Amino acid sequence: MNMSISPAKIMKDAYARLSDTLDNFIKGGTDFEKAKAIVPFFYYFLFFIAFTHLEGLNHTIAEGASGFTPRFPLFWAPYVEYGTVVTLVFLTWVGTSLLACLFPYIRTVRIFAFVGFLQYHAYVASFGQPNHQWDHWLWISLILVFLPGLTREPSVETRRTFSLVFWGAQAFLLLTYTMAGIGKLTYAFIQFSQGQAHAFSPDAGALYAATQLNLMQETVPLAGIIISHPWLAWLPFLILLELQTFALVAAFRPQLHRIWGFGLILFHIGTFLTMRAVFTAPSALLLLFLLASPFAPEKKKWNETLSSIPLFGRLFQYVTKRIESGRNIN
Amino acid sequence: MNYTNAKKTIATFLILYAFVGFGAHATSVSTEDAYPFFSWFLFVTVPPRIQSGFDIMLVSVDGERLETPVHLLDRPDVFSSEGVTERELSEITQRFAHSIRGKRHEQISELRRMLEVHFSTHASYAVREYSYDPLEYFKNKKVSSSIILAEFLVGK
Repeated sequence: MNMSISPAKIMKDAYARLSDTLDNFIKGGTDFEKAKAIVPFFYYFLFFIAFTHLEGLNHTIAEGASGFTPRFPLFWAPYVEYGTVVTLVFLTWVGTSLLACLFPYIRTVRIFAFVGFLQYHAYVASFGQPNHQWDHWLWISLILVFLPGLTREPSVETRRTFSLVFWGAQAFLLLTYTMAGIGKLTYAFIQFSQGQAHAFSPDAGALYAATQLNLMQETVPLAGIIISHPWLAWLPFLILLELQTFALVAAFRPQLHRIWGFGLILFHIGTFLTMRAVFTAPSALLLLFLLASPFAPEKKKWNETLSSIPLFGRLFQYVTKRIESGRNIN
Repeated sequence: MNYTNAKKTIATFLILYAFVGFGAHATSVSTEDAYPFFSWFLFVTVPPRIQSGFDIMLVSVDGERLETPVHLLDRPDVFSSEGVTERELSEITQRFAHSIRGKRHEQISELRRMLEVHFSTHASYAVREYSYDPLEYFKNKKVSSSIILAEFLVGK
């Protein structure tokens, strides 16, 4: 008897299980209606951000081209005067995102919106290291290009595919947080093995805050209390590790979408108030794609929600079962 | 694209993104760049409990030794920061300290020239390496220990 299981079979089985999980909540019914209603708001936000950035056009041009090394999407930039490059990038972004506000369900328009934002994203990334807080917007604007075209009465297949692509944007957003969590866990074990402070240390949060603020020579409202009482940041930091590492798991559990979206928004607020880490751009996406998730159940069953939290859900289930069996005996 | 194919495409994309992102970090930790992919390894290492830094302290002015050395920027009457930002000064300080430790005399001379042009009077200064607990340093700028790497007289 052949007992070996090939990696390919494991992956195939995993894909089948996850696929079945998706099929359970991607129905093409109210989930489709909600997803369809949310999509234009992505472009409304995108336009708003583009327009507010337009305010800084003159200042950006005046700062000059020092250090400007165009990324590949700006292949045309070397042939054009720098001020014109900046103007074209900003105006294209504004124009294409506005067009997408008007016609969000037309694929060609969504392609233009993606290309318009890609120009801006590439421009910002052309001065050394990219500013990653705009990465989610870039990739989600690409994912949304693949939303299927809608007729007056789309078929169930089309509706399901629409919902699925929307879910793909959710999954990508959550994947990035999982990757961040994996990074923190990996280095936690490395640092622990080297006898250094690590992510599970009680003073980890305080060390991050103090180091960052010393470097920037700034302070923020919660820095003082966290640094004076490092233990205060310990539990929030552990919760953050849970939120980040298991974010992609939450993508497959719609009852967790809202709580994860809320938790991640709090994370970004918290890192700003403790260490002045500015990462505001993903917040709008967390609102649109998670807090307003079309797949989250209408009626909240707290038992089910808490039971489905990775790792702690099992503990919660165990405790509630013990309490129930104690009641039954009585 | 139908529903089944869309599922496969999304799965492939997510796996590819993670693979390229992690791969970029694995192949080049310090200059990780696989634009527009990214590993999302941000703030992954907890800073150490004892850290070190460098600064440049004013030691004497017009031949008179100061009771307590002070930072250059604390004496605008001696050191003018016009034309140099705090960040630039910090970068000069880092390079200066590393050049002294590495005994790179040409670089030391060049950095001295860059720095000493801002002095308006006869003075001497020291490049210092200091160690500190970041939590204590944030609260009261307390330094645990320090050593002078080198001392220089302006113009000599």
